[in-house]
Amino acid sequence: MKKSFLITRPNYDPLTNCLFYWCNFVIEEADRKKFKIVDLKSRKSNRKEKYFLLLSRSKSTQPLKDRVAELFIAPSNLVVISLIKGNTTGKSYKRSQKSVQKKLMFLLTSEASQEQRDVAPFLLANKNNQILLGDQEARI
Amino acid sequence: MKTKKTSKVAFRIKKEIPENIRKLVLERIRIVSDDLMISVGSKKCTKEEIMKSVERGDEIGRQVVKAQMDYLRAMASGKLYQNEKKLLNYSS
Repeated sequence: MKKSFLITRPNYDPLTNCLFYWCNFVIEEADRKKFKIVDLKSRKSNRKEKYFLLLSRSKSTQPLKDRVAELFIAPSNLVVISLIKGNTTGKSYKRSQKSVQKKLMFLLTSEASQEQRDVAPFLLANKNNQILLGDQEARI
Repeated sequence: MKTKKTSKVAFRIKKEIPENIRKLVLERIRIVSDDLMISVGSKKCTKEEIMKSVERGDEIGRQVVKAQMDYLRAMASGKLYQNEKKLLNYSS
């Protein structure tokens, strides 16, 4: 029996529009792994958690080229992609944490733009707030 | 023994942002690029709205203050780099 993958991705303002397009990478991975995908496009979600997300206004028409948004969304997507690939929740969590840490180290270098450096405190806050509950050996 | 009323007052005082920290965070937010759009949870804010929240000391303001101060402390203590070593030792 095919495993199912349900995704809710609202798209009603610049922020959700950006997330909408970045979700494509997760969907592509799920598709490669032959998941049955249920894509609830444009439905509003009830996101309650306090998570920082920063975007560049100037890139709102090209969300996948937004190098600021990428700092926040890529590590977040990595958790789901890693789970889809069959890794445990513990390993997926650690991979995501490591990815954020690498990005934080990048932000301390002169290669990062000023705009990217501005968001470092918010990225660290997200890393500190990311927690894993339950069985660390569980997998899909 | 603390009464219920004094406990409530103490809690409110504890939640207030000290003036020196508020000023520091406001200056740090002031220099952030105007091109950035900020979302905290499901609430979208401009830079000016974030600054107002910090001035008011509301929930979003306190979260922003905590993020900024945790970052400065992690930089000053070297914790930010210790995390790097810890995670690099993790074998994937």
